[in-house]
Amino acid sequence: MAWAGDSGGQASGSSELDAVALVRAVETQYQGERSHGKMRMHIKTRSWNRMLELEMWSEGREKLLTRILAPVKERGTCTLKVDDDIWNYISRIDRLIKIPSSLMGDSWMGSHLTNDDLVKENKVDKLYQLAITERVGKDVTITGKPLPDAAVVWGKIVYKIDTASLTPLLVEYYDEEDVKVRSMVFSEFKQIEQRWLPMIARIVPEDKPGEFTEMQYLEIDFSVELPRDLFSIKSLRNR
Amino acid sequence: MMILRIGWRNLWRNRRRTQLTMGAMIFACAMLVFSLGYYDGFLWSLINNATEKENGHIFIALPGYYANPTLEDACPEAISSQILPDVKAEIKGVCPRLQAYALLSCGTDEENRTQPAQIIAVDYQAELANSKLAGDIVTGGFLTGDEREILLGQGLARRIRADIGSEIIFFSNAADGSIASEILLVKGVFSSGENIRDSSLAIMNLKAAQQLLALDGRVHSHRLFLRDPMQAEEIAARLNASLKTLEATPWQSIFPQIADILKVWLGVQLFTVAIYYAAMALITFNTMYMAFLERMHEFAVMQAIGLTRRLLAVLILSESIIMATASGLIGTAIGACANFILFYHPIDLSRWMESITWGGSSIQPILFCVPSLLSNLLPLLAMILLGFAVAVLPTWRLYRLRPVEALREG
Amino acid sequence: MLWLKLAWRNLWRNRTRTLVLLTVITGSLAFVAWMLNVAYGSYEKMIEDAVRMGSGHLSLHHPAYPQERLSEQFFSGKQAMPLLANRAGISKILPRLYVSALARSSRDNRAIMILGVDFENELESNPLLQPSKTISGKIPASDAQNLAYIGTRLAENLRIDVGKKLVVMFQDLSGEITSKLYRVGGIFKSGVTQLDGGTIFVNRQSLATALGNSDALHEIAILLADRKELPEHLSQLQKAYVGHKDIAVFSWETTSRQIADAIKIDSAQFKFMIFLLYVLVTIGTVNLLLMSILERTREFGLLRAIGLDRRRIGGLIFCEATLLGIIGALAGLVLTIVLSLYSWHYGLDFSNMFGEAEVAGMLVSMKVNSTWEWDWMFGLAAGMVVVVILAAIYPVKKALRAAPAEAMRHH
Repeated sequence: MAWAGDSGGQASGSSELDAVALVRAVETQYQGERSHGKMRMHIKTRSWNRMLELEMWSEGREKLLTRILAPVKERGTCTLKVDDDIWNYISRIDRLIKIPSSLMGDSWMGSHLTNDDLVKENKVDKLYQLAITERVGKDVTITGKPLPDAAVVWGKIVYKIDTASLTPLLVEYYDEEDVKVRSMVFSEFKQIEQRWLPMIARIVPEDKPGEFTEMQYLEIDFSVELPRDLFSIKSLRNR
Repeated sequence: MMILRIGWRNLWRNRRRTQLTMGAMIFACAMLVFSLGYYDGFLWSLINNATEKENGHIFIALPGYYANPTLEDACPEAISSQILPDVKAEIKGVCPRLQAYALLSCGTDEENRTQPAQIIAVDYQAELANSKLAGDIVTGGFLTGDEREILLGQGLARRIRADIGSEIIFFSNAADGSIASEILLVKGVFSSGENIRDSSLAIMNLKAAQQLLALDGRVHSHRLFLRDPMQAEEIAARLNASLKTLEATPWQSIFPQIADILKVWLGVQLFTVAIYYAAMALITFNTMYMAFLERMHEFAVMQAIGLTRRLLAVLILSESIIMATASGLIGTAIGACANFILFYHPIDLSRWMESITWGGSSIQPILFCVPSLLSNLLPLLAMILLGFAVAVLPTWRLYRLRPVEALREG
Repeated sequence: MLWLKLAWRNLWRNRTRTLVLLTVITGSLAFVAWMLNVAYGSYEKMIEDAVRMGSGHLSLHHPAYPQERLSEQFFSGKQAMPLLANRAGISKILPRLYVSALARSSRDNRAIMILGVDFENELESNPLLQPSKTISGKIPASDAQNLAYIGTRLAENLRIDVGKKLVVMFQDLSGEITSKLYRVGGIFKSGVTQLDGGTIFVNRQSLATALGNSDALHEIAILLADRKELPEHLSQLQKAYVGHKDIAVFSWETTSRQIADAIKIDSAQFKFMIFLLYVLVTIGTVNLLLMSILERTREFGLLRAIGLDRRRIGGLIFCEATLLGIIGALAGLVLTIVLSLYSWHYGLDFSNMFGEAEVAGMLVSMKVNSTWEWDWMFGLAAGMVVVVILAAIYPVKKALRAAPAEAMRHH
């Protein structure tokens, strides 16, 4: 969870730890003003075991573009997210479709991330009330309770954050009866352009033992220049 | 024998009365046979719709699949080795099926309409041979085995504004998690009778779906069509004894509402028969009784010349039974004819009404009868019984008859 | 007068036969009329249930809405409601919103239909919004903006219970995807799969606000005090809304087509049975009258020999037939009333035989109270009398054909 000057987080070393800033930093760790990277996604469910290689670009929290590099059969398939809308471009048949709201609950690319996660994942600080609930050395536990009117399904989200490097160790999602439904585990921390980032994030559904989605960043670049109309339907075709 | 002949001749001595009474009995009997045939037709049509059209009489899949269908729970396409020969004899045909969910989209990049739909993939030849799925097509034609064909439900076609020949984008996940995508062409539009279902249902070819969804050589279910649909429960039990990993479910378990109606069906039929019977009995009873009273003088004479009461009783009884039986036979014949005609040429009422969902199946707007042994036999038996019944009182009076008084009555 | 007395006495000269014929007439009339009352009682119930759960006796919609049911086909409540005020004969006005959405919990998600209703208003009339159908929790109060009343299967599928969170996602009227948080206030069980697994009820105002237009409505369901007045109300309302392009008036027969058709089939079958029974009664009556008249051939011959002309004798016989018909019909009516009183007050319960059936998207209960279809009852009775009189025609002709001398010799 690196912060960079752009996200306006606290400088490390300050004695006052702001829960909101910490969480915001964690949730936007892979973004910045702009980013461009490559990652490998390993999806294991009870029925299959897949490896995908993806290239991704992002701008702020609103825009995201992903493109499949491997396996070859799916190479060129893209997902574009602009604000709350998602489009998929399917390279094999050279066609574009917009994902309707009724499918937001569906998994993205067969992983344990849902389309909705892509859309909402960055708004935690706006939808939850965050407070530090535990401190062990430089590791801090922040518990987020949803604001009364927030349209989120979780009962609470718990973050374990290393305040020294401002990286997340663990994020756990609970339902309203305090039963853990999902967790994200982070590892392999590296420093890139003055941020510390976990290169590996693994999503584990608690009610499906043995299943997980693991995303491993191969490269990530925050100082890249992105073309103007990158995040548009037209450019989907040309990628 | 002679008694019968005399009985027969006696009947025709008063032609008008006999004609009228027999006319009433024939009419009532024919109507009863027709009513029973009509109810049978109603039930048949309900069962057929639930089974013949799509579901088959027995459903074979992995245990629990019906309640919770998932893409990954597929079974082998070839199961005939698991079915014993004696069971095979009862099976008319098998339709393998694949089921999936996909996004279907139609239109241009800027203006496309996308809908999630349930996809059923079928072996078109098996369907044409066994089920009535092809009969639901309203526009275009049924599948012909071309890999890129798709059929859309009416409501679905309307929602995504697709027509015959339109390109449809198929987008889903295959069984190995990869993206399954294809462009399909609309070959036909169908209407299953259930509008809500039609707005999210599409049909495609089995082979194409198997390739698309990475399920080669596999299907989700086998729909068995039996020679005798009513045997489904029993045959399913026999199958379950020999199937190793799969489970056979009869249609009665899938449509309990219909199965329940079947249970009370015999009761409903008997009730109908009873009503007609009561009406007929009232009407003919008095006729016979009056006729008897009229002929008291004649009976007295016969007794006086030596005919035993027993023989006389037999005579009366035989007259009554002959008339009832004759009426029964003719009436049943007429009713059965009507049933047969409507069985082969049902009358289409769809101009006046649409189909109505009922307990998971639907009632079709057609006038349709099913001739059956029971619908012919019951009325006939009822008639014969009637013949006996109406002879009772006269016979009893007969035994109290005093010839001398009767003779004087003249 | 004399004729009447004579006719009356003649009837009773042969008590058995007259009684039997009377029984036939009375019995079949009572049976048919009573069954009709029961059948109509069941239709009543079906229709009234259907209109209360569905779109009312009459409903206001955007003209294309009943066919296509798209969210953007709404109309303005402010324009529609004033024209409905102060109309005699309207007992309930129920504005509603229908939004198709995705319902999500922390475990699962399902496609559903959200019904925005005014809870207080609907409590009295909607068969689903009854404590008897609530299996858990309570029906939300009218000011509860964020409570939802959901079906039991949906609760199971999403693994949520009373008090738990439910997030719904839908497209608002400007095309944007929006989410709203609800909590489960109560859970209902209707027995109909579509309702239990895919429908939730929420406060209409809050839904309208989330849609982005607090004035939008998809439907105003109108319940009438007397369904028989439907045609007049329909035409009045159609006239009233003539200027509004976005608002059209529909009757339940269009919006609940399936129920209307189901009733059509049933009543057609019924009318067929009535026809049959009348035919049978006619034949029976003809038969019996024929016999009784033929029996009296000698007597008629005698009467004619002493000077009574054929017409008068014919008149006498018709008098007898009429009396028979009237007595039978009256007795039949009385019997019908007695039977109907029982089934109207106590109701008939077929649920042991049939349980509850799902027909045309509704749960049809097998407990029926008959209604009083007076016009049918009197019509059938009058029909009986006519039938009996007509049945006498042939036998009379037969009886009077023979010459008096022959007739007297007859026996």
